[in-house]
Amino acid sequence: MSFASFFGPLSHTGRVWVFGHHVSVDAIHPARFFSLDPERAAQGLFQGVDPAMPEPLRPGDVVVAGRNFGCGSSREVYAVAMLRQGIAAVVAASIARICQRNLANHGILALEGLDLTDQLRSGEQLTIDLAAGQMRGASAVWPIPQPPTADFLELLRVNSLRKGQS
Amino acid sequence: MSVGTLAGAILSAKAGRALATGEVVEVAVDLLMGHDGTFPLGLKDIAAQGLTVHDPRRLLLVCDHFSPAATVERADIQKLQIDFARRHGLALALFTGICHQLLLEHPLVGPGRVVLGADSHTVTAGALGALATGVGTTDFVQALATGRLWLKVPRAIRIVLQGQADPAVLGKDVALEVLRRLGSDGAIYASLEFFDQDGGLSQDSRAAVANMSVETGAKCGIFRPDAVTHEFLRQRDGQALEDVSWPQPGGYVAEEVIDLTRLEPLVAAPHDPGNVRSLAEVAGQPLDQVFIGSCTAGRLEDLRVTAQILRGRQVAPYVKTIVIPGSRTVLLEAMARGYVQDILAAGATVANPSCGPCCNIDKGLLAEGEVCLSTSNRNFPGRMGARSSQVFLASPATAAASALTGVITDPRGRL
Repeated sequence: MSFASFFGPLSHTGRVWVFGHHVSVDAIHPARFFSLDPERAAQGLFQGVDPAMPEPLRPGDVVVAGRNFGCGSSREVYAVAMLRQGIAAVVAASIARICQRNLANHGILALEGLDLTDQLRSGEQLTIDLAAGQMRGASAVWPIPQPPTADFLELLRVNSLRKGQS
Repeated sequence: MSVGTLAGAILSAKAGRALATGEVVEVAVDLLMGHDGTFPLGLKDIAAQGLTVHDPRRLLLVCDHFSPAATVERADIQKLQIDFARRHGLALALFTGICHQLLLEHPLVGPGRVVLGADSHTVTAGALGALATGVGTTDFVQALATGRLWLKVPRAIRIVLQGQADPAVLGKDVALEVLRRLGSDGAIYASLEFFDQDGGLSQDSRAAVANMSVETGAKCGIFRPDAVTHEFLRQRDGQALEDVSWPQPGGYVAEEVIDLTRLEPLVAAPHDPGNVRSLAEVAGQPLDQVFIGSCTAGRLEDLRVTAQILRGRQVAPYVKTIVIPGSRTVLLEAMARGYVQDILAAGATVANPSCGPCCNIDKGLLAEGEVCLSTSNRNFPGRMGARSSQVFLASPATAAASALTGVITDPRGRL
């Protein structure tokens, strides 16, 4: 499950997990879970954020984070794990540079420039409507601040299919 | 003479035309680095797409994270890289040092060069005036196969260094001062560009500053090459590398001036490198471990300072003091100068060149609840071991002084 399947109609509704600021790669995917086996790597996802993870994750879930999501290490095994667990998108106030590239290379939608950590609570639903350029919660609508271009969405689609297969 | 930023000048020279900030350009990579913690993840893509190495001379493959491997799983992962190198006749830096130190020792790294590495601390090579940045494995594989990668011309922040620091105030303290001012997300996707006006920082200290530029979110940290750079390159290569024609500084989104003469030792408290305190605020904090090493501080200057502070004394009982040189070259020189003997005689242990406990790998992981003073670059929760462990980041001078007392201690007056 990846961008191509979630955002086929350019809109996706998923359950959110709300994280804080400065969620580092060491928290997203602690080094002890490093593995070349995607299934094993997937078992470490968000373990450093919440030891109960990743058991409650479901395909289509959306990560909502604050500033500087994915800061620190470049090791992209966390992107493999996110793809494997079916994380549909990351919505964050800001995203660290290497993380932006890694998510794009794995076809995971990352939207920057909006801090919804005070607006949403874990378990609530969020609709990301790329066609309308907005995100919708139960009682509010937010414009997507830096809407991805059609070319970029196509890149995500291709990358998500390629990484999903390999 | 043109006006602009160092990153803009380097990328424009590569592109053969003047580039504007924000422009995306595909550039040829002068040196590409991958290591045992990141390279093996790319083998699946390399095999699936039938890719080959574009230019083996411009590839640096390093075994340093699992150096040597402490678990069978890591040995299995590392073996994939060793086998790949052997099969394709590629040079392999097998346990000869931390990849970022090896970049500084590599003849292809110098002013104006574009250096990419599958590791966030590749920025370290900016200490020699290169545009050096970290990428993930997928980007690494792209550059491996084509010799090129797209890069965005970053906005840039100018940081001017003035004067000379106290002998016990090192590059690490400058890096922490930059973090104190910018915060750990203050420079996302920006280029930090350092102008050491009075040559106050040694080349080793500059490497520590460039190394931690990524902790502000920066894409790169570039030192404007000067006499210090050229002397380092002359000693490294036997000749000064040809410098590029640098622009007059301009087009910066912000500027900071740091007066080194007034800079004091700093410490980043748990659990973020941007959580910077004055040493006085955390002095007296009891420690279970002191780690001197990593790609931030495993260089000759760091070992010299450590040896000078420890010489003829004993580290505190019950405090694990671990020193790990950054490379074999550094270790051999430190042995020749007697630093290693001084450090060992003081009761510290010296391990082989490697990443060590930084990044939760081996040779000194922290138990639940333990507190470590480390010269490395990150102190996120669980970064060096158990989730409840705590890491304070400081310079090798502060670390060595603290190893003697067992509590965080001001190093000034000890050098």
